[in-house]
Amino acid sequence: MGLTSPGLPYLLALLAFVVLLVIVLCWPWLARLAPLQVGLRIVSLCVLQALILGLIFVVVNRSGEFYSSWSDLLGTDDGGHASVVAASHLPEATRHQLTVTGSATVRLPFGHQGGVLEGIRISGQLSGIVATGHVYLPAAYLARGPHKDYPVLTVISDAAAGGGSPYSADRVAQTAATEIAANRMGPLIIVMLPATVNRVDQACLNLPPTLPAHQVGSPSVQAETFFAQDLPGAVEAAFRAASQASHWGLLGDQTGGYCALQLAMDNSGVFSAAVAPRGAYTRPPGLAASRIKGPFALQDDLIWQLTNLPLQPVSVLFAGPGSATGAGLAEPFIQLAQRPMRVSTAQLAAGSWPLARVLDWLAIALGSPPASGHGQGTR
Amino acid sequence: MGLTSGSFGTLMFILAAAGIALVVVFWPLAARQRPLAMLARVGMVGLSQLLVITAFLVYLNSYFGFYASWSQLLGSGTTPIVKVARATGQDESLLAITGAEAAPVPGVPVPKTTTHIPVAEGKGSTDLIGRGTTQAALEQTGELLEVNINGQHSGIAVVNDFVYLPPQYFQPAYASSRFPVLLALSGYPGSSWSIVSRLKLPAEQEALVRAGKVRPAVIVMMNASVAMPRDTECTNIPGGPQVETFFSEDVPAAIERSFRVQSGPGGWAALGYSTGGFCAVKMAMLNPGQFPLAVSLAGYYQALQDHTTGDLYGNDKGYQDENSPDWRLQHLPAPPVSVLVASSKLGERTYGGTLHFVTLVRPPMQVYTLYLPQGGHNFGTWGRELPQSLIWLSMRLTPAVPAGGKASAGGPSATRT
Repeated sequence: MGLTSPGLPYLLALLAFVVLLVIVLCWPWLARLAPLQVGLRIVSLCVLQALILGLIFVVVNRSGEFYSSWSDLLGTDDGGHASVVAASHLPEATRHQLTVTGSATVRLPFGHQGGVLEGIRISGQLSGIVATGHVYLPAAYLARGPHKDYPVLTVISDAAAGGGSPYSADRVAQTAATEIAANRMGPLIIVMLPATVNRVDQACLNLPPTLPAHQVGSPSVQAETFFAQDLPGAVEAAFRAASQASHWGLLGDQTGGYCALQLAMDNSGVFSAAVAPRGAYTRPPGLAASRIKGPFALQDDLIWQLTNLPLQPVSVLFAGPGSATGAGLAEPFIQLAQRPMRVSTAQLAAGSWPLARVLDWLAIALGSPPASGHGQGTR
Repeated sequence: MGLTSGSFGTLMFILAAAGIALVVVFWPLAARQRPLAMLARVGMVGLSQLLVITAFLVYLNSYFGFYASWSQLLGSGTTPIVKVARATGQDESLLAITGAEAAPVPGVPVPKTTTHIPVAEGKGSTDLIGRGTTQAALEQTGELLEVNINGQHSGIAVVNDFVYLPPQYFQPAYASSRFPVLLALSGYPGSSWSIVSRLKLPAEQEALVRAGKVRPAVIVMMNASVAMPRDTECTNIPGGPQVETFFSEDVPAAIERSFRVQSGPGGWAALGYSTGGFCAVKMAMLNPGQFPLAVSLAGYYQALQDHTTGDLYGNDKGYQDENSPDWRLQHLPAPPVSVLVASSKLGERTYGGTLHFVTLVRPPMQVYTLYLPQGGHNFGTWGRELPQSLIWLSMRLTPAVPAGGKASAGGPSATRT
C-alpha cells in the first residue's frame, strides 16, 4: 500500500483501535506477574504507540505532501534523472526604454554655452508606463574632453511648457544653464517629467489595481515603480549618468512635491535629496487621496512614516510656494525628521528665476558643486 | 530549555519511556472488572501515548527545522510581531557576527543541533571573520558565520541567520576579489539552520566547486519568515513590516558593507524552497536590478493568505494580486530576469502551478525548468535538485576572479543547456 494512498490512514486507525481494544479487554490476563505477561504488556503498548505514531505521520504527510512514496521516505529513491530545460522564448531585441524626440539649444546671453534641452519619451520596462518629458544636458556634458558620469536631478511637475511656471521644462533648463554659466552650481543632468502619468494623477504611488481609477483605459498601477526603477534604468542606459543614490535627487511642485518627498523616503537607495514646497504631506494629493484607504492611507501619510518607520538618509529642502519663509505647514515634518535625515528650508528667490538657489543647493547635495569657491548655499 | 536542544529531546524521550514503564508496572491496579478500572486502563494507555507523541513531535520538529525556538513556535508574547527599530542611527551596525566556525565540508555530516556554534566575543563587530578557526583551516573549509542583521530601511531586525564564506574567500589569490552572493531562503515554517543542516547548501556548493562544476560564491542563508510564527511571505505589509524591502534592500546593503562581495548586476541571485521559492521569484520580479536571477525549488507563484499569514495585503485584493508572480505576468510588463523553477511530476502539489507559471512567462523574462519524475515536498527532493540549480546559477553569476588569472574552477566545462 502506498505511503500516500487514502486507505492507509483508515487501515492504521482500524489496527490501532483493535490493538487498544485487545489491550483493554485482555488487561486482567496481562496483569499476572509472570515474565510472559510483563513482556507482552511492553510489546502491546509499543505496538499501539507505533500504530498511532504511524497514523499521525501518515496524516500529516498527506496534508503537507512531504514524502510522496516509501522510497522517497527511506531515501532509496533517486527521483529519476532530469535536466534543466529552457522553457521560454528567446529574448526579443532589446527595445529602447528612452528615446530622444527632439533637441533645442538653451541660449544664454553673451554667447555662453547653455547646453541642450531634449524631448524624451520613456517607456517603463517594469511599470509599462510611457511618459514624455525633457532632459537638460549641460554644456560640460556635451563638451569634448574626459568623459565622466553626471549627477541627475529629476523634476516632477505638471507645469506646461511655456505656461510661465518656474517648474516648466524650458524655465528649469534656462535657470540651470544660467546658474552653471555663472558658476553658482556644477553641471547636472536634469530630467523633467509630469507627475500625471498615463493620464492619472496618482502622486507617484503604486496604486492597487482594484482602485476605481484603473477601470478606465490602461491600468497605470505602478507609478512608483516607474519613477524609482524604470527611470534610473532608462536614464543610466541613455546618458552618462551617475548611478549611486548620492547623485540622484528630486524636485517637485504641488503633486510633484509630494512625489519628490515620498519617492526619496521610500527609495533612499535610489535618491538622496528631495526639494518640495512647504506642505503638510499627511495624505497624497490628487486622485490618490480620495481612493486610498486603511493601512495604505497610513503608509502614504509622510508624517506617519516619520513617526513609525526608520528615518532615511535623505536630505530634504522645503522651498516655496512663492516667497514663503519659515517652516509653515511643514513644521510637523521638520520637527520629526532627525538624523540620518536632514531637513532645511529656503525661500524661493525673487525675480524671474525663483528656482535658482534651489538648483544651487541641489547641485551641492548631489555632489556637483561649482568649480571655484564662490558658489553659495541657500542658508 | 531550547525547543530544538538535544537535552530537551532527550528529556522528552526519557519521559515517554518512563510513561510506558509506569503503565507496565502499575498494570495490575487496573485489572479489576469494574467500569472505573476500564476507564483507568484507557487513561493509562492514553497518557503514555501522549508522552510518546510529544517526544515524536519534538523529534520531527528538530529534524525538519520547522520552529527553531519556543518563541518562534509560540510567538514572543509581549514583544511586537516584528521589531521595527525607530530611527536607526548611522553608527548602529547593519550586521553583527554572533558565532563563527569552520564551514561544513562535503561528505561530513553536519551536526543536527543549532546550539553548537560558539557565540563569539565582541557582538556587533564584523572583525570576527576568521575567528572560528585557523587561517590554514579557513583556506580549506571556508567559514560559517552566525549573524544578526539590522535593516536600515525597513527597521526589521533578525537574528540567527547564517553567512557562508567559501574557502577561496580566505585564499591569498582571492584576497582582493569580490564574490557573487546567493541569498537562500527557507520554507515556512522553517529555519535558516535547516538550509545548512538539511538542504546542505554550503556542503553541496563546496562539493561542486571541488569538482570544478561551479565557481565559489558567498551564501547568505535566512529564514523566509522574519516574524515567526507568522508567515510573512516576503511582503511589504501595508502599514506594517516591510519584509520585501528588508530582503531586497536591507540585506544586500548589510552584506555588501560587511563582506568582500559584488554589488553590481550579475552579482546577486536568490534561491529558496517552498515559501522561499515564492519569495525568490517574487523579489526577482519586483527588483530585477538586485536579483536578476532566481531559483525556486517547489515554490508557488500566487500570493497566498491563510491563518498563518494573517492579513498581509491590507485587506485589498488588488495589492494581493500585485504580490502574485502569476498576476504580474498577466497584467504587467515582464521583467528582465532569469528564473529556474524546479518541481517533480509525481508527489509535488506545486507541479501544476509551476507548469502554469511557466506558460505565462514572456520575454525579456527567461524561465528554465527542472522537473524530477518523482519526489515529495522535502529536503531529499530539493537536495537532488540542488546541484543542477547551483550549476545553472554559477553559469550566470559574475565570478570572483583571483589575482592574475581567470576564474578557475567552474565555467569551462559548463555548457548551456
